[in-house]
Amino acid sequence: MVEKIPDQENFFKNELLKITKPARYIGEEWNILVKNPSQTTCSVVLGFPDIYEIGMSHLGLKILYQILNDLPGVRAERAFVPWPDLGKLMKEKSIPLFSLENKIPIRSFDIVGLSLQTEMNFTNILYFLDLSQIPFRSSEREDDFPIIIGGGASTCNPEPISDFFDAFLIGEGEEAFVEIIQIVSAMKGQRKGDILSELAKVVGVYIPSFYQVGYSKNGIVSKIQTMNKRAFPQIQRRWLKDLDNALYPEAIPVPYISIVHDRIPLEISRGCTRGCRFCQAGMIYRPHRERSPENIVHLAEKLVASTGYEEISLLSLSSTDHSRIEEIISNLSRRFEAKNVNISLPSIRMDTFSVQIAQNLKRVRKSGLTFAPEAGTDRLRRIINKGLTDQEIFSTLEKVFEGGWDDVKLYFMFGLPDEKESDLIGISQLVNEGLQIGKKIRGKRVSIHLNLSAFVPKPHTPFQWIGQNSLEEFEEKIQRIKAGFSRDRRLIRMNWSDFKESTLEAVLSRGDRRLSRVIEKAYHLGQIMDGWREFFSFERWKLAFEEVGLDYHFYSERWRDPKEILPWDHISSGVKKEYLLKELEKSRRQEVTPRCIHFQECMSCGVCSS
Amino acid sequence: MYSFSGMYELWGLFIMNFTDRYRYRCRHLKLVPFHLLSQLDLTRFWDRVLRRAGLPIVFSQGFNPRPLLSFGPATVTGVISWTEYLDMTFYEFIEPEQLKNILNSQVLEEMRVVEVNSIPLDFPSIMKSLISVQYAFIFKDEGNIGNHQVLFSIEDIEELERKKMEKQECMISFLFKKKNILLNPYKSLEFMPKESGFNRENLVEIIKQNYYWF
Repeated sequence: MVEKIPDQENFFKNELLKITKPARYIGEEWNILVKNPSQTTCSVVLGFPDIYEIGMSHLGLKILYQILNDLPGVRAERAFVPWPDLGKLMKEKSIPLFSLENKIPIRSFDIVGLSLQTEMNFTNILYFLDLSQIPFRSSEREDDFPIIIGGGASTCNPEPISDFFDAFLIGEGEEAFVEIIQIVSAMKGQRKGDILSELAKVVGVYIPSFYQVGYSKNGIVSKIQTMNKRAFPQIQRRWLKDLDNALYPEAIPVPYISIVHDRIPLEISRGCTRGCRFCQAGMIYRPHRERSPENIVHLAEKLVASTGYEEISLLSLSSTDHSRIEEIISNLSRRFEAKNVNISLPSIRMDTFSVQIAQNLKRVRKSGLTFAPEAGTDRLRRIINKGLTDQEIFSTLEKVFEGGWDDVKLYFMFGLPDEKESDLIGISQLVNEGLQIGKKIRGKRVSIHLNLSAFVPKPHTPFQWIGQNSLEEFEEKIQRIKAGFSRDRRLIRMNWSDFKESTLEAVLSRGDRRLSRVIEKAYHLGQIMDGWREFFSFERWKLAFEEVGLDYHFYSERWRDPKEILPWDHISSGVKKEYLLKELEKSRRQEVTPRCIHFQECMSCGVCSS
Repeated sequence: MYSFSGMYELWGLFIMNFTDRYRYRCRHLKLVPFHLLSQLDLTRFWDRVLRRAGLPIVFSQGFNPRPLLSFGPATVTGVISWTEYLDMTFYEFIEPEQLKNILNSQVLEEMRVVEVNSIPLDFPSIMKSLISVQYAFIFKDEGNIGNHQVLFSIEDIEELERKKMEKQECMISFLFKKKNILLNPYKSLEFMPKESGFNRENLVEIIKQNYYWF
């Protein structure tokens, strides 16, 4: 007997009218895959600890949704965290969180797979479990609760949330998730402990309860040891050898409401050939793998026909680094021009931007251009291994303005290691110069949209040992940048990240297991939706740290000794720790590491041999 | 899969103004749970339905080309509607019955198109054709739909519009002055000249189907 939510008909017809954007919760999208619960043997919820608009924009969820539903006997459904107005109503009426397809309570599924894309979703994990009426801690969950598995970018250091999960899948899920499901369906009804022991054999699966962490007096991790014979001493990240032949959905659910990335996501490559030293994605999604232009065009045709979307976004960490990108863009834009389907690129490297790409991109409609110089001077860009010169930036801006654009969006970071005042002034000078170039070429004023992010050191990057700036330092630096702008201030639209959010992100991303208690405390103090400014409260977090008896500066601002055991040392991204350390040394000498192009000039990071 | 000659695409680009165009007026349903879609959602919805169906749509010109669609007055989110009208324009003639089937192959049952008429290009817009909108209100405390027929005057409606601005969280309160007495109002009918073909009997039938507890 399948459990249903109470008084479902009334809920959808009337209760949902009391809340904002009720269309988030109805499901029923075009192309969704609904299987009959009585004809499936294993049920999975693909959960996302953020609201519908964010979760539905996530590509990994769409890929897994297709792959899992393609398996006979397996039913995969979606679930998102509701906006707090509905959350409150659900708690009052004791309505459990439900899946969008069959409207079945989460707690009656066999597996809950939660996608963890950012540390700012950590309290939402608890919100998700709370609304699902599932106990938070793995140790408190009896055998009849679903097995809770986490996956996604944040699992490269899953320690702060390790108490809440039964298992983590480190790396790409296309193959490993299928293996997990096979084990869970075969062992259905058996004890959770036995199932977990079996899951521990799958490469990439991390069972946190099989490991014990010791701390020295000063709070630094002193040892990480395995408690179960079957557990690997180090977990290897899973990655697909052959991206081009991997399954990619030819139809994706088409939402009714406007979501954050409301377009066809078409992944043209995975991994990045660059080795920017601050960039976690550039390290943990190695190696660089490409989809062939033929396959991309085929998928684009299928997806446009099945969804009716008006835009295709060519996804990758650095789209213009695809070896055949010009061919792909000109092919697609010619093919879809008559259908009024737009082609867009999420981000373009300044040194690979060409006029031809620009012309092709604006065939249907001229979408905005975004570039990320990241730092203000050549020196600092060498330190972070961005490999981009002022000259290249200016010549790209010339091309952009000549191509007919009147505005451009630039991303910078501040608070980077070894940052000097000249680097901050450099940002303002670049922008001033950019405005001048634009005025000269366009014959009128152009505008620059500036986005400044506070640097967050991330695990598994060469900067993982670095201490983050304090809130005061960040504030000073932003003022310094602002002071450097020329008088044309209204042509510069400037946004910067909330430093307090960046601080918390740094704390959680490099935290250890003791932070589970802090996260739980923060949740009990009412903290949810950290990624949303209207809900984020750093004061509440500070209080949570205080009550648990931990100091957050220890996690954000402390410089780690290269010799110390890092909380995530037993998780391997494939990139060797020695390589990261070597990169850190090189950054101190302002030395640049060239691109990783297969079999040409290998930097021996270790991924390909792992 | 329905296919149309690819020529219109080229015409569309070069001699759009000289091409033949064909205009259609469609009536569709907006039943539970799609009563929760807003007018903006609906625009996006039909835009994608038409693209999926591969119909020879006329696009608007300019910076951001979109299919040429025109709607009637927006239905308030949360109102279950039996009658939503929209006009669409194509480069090729399609039999109204065939068009209805094509559209219905791309939408769910609760949103199905129930009527398609071919109309002249200079036919008055939906807004201009519209005479009145009728809402059915269902009173929870009475339990008997037959007993209640409430008409409210134009002053009431102005009151409702004002309330809409102030209080957005609850549909019920702004559609009618008195609280607590209504479930979802039911948008039954936009009176169109002649062609609507809707009568009171099937309204009662629909209400019975949708409000199962009566």
